[in-house]
Amino acid sequence: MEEKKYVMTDEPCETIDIKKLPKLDKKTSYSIRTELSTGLSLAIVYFIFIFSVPAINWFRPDWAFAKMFGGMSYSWFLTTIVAMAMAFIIAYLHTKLYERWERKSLEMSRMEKKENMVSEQTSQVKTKGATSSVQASFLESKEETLL
Amino acid sequence: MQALLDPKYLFTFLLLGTIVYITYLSKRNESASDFFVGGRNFGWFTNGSAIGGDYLSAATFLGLAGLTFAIGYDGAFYTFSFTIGLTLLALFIAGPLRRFGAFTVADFVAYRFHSKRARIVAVIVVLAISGFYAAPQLLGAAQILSMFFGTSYEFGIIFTSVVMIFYVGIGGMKGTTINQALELWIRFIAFIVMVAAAIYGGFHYERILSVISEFSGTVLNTGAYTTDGKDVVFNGETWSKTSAFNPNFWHSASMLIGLSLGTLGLPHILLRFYTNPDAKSARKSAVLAIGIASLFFACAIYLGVVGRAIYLSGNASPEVMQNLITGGDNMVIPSIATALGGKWLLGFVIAGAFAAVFSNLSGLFIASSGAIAHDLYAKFTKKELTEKNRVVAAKLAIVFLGVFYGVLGLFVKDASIGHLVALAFTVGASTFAPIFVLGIWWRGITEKGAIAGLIVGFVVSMFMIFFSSILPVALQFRVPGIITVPVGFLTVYIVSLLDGKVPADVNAFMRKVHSSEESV
Repeated sequence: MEEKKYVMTDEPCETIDIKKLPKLDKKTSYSIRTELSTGLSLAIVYFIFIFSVPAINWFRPDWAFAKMFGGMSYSWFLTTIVAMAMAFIIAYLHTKLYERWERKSLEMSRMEKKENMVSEQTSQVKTKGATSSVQASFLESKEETLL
Repeated sequence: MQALLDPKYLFTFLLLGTIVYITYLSKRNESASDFFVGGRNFGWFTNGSAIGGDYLSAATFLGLAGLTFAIGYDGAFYTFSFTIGLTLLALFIAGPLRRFGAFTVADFVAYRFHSKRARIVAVIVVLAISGFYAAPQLLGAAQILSMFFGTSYEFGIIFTSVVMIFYVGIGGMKGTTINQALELWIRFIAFIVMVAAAIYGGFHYERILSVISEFSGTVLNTGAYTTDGKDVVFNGETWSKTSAFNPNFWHSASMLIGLSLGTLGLPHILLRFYTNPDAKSARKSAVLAIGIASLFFACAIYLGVVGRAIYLSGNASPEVMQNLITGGDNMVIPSIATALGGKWLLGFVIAGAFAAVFSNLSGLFIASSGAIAHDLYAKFTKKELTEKNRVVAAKLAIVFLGVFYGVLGLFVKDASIGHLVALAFTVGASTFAPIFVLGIWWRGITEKGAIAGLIVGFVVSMFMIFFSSILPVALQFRVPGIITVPVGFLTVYIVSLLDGKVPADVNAFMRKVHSSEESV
C-alpha cells in the first residue's frame, strides 16, 4: 500500500484501521526507538528519585528527618538541593545524548547516500558496457573501501 | 516628585519604561508568523529566558517563599513538585513539537487528527486553562499594587489589563519574548541579590534550619500584631517535617503527578517551543529554562527559611514583623527584602514582582489570542484572510481577552491564588498532557480518542476541584492529579483502541516529528 503524504491541514483525511497500517520505515522507527528509550530511561531514573522522597518521608520518617549537618535533614537536602540539581542534570544529559545520537544518525545517512551514489555509478557503468573492465574494477574497489 | 525618587516608584517606572521601549521597537508584526511565533527567529538563550519568564509567575516569585515560610517542609515539597514539569517537557515534547512547527496548541491537535471538531474542543480547553491561570495572576497584580501603592483592587485589575493589552497587542510574540526574557532576569537578579544579602547577614542555611527546628514556644514581640494580643506560639519540629499540607503519602504523590504533568499541558509554555528556529534550539532553550527555574526555586525555598528565621528572632523592625504576621504569604519576600536591604532592595523586589506578573500574563494573552484569532476566526469564519487581517484579528482578540480576564479577575477577589493555579495545572495535566505525549509517541491515537480524552479530562478535573467536598474524604485531594491524570490517559487510550481508525498519513506525521533535521 502506498504511503500517504503528510499535509498540515484540519480538512478531514482518510482513515485506516490500525491493524492494516503499514509498518514504519526502518529509519524512522529506529529514530523513535532511540529517542523514546533515551527519554524513558532518564525519566525512570528521575521518577524513582522523585517518588522516593515522599515515600521515605511517610514510610521512613526517622531516617528522612534525621539531621545530616546542622539543621539540614536528609529530606530537606534531597527536596531543596538535590532535586533542583537533578532537574537540570537530567535535561542536560538528555540534550547531550540526543545530540550524540543525532550526529551518529547524520553520519550514517551520509554514508548511506555515498554508498547509493557509488553503487548507482557502478551499475550505470556496467549496464552501458562502454567502460573498460579496469574502470569497473576501480569503481568496485572504491565501493568496497567505502563500505 | 519626591515620591518618584522612592525606590519602589523608581524601579517600577524604570520597568514600565523599558517595557514601553521594547514594545515600541518590536511593533512591526507584518505576518501571522511574526505575531504568533515571533518569526521563529529567537535563539535558544532568548527563548530559554522567555520560557523561564512564562513559567515563573507572580505566584512563584512571591508565593513559594511565602508557603515555605508558613508551612515549612510541605511548602518546600510544593515547590519541588513544580521543578519536575519542565524536565519532562524537555525529555518528551520539546524537540518533536518544534519539528512539527505550527502556530498554536490547537494546531497540533487539529493537524495531527485532521479534525475541526478536535480544534474546537482544544480551543475551549486552552481558553479555560488560560483563564484559570490569568485570573490569579491579575489577582496577584492587584494585591501587589494595593500593598505597595495603596490602590484599590479594582484599579489594580484594570491597570494590569490595560498594560497587557498594550504590551501584547502592539509587541506580539516578538515584543513579548524580549520583554519576558528581560523580566525573567530582573526577578532572578532580585532573588540572587537577596540570597547574597542573606548569606552576608549570617543566615547560613543549615544553621538557621537548626535554630528553627529546635524552636518551641512563643515568639517575642509578636503580641502587638495579633488580634488577641498574645505572642504567637510556634513549633519548629512540626514546621520542619511533612504533614502540614499533605496529610498522607497519597496526597504528596497526587501533588507530584498533577503539578509535574501539568506543565506538559500549559498552552503558553507549549507555544514557546514553536518560536525556536529548530528542534536543537528547542531542547537547549528548555535546558536553560530548567537551570534558571531550578536555581530560582531553590532560592525561593531558602528565602522562605530566612524569613522564618528573621521572624523567630523577633529582632526585625516593627514594620517587618507586622507584615510577616498580618501580611499573608505574598508579603514574605517584600518583608525579607526590607529586613535585608532596606527600601532599595524592596523597590527592586517590587519591580521583580511586576515583572513576574507581566511576563506570565503576556504568555497567556498570546496563547489565548492565538486560540481565538488563528484557531477560531481564521479557520472557521473567513478562509481567505490576508496576513495583515490575521494580525488585526489577533490584536482585537487581545483587547477582548484584556476585558474578559479583567472581569474574571474582579470575580476572584477572595479566591486563593494557589487553588486557581493548581486548577490550571490539573486541567493541563489531564487534558493536553495525554494528547501531546500519546500524539507524539503513539501511532494508535485516534481523533475520537483525543476528543474524548480532552472532554473527560477537563470535566473530571473540574469536578474533582470544585465539588471535591461531596466525595469521600479519601478522594478529597488539593491537587487531584493521582485520579484525573490516569483518567485522561486511559480515556484517550481506551477510546482509541475501541475506535481503531487512525489518520492514513500517521506514518508520514511520525517521520516529520521524529527525524533529525539535518538528515531531513
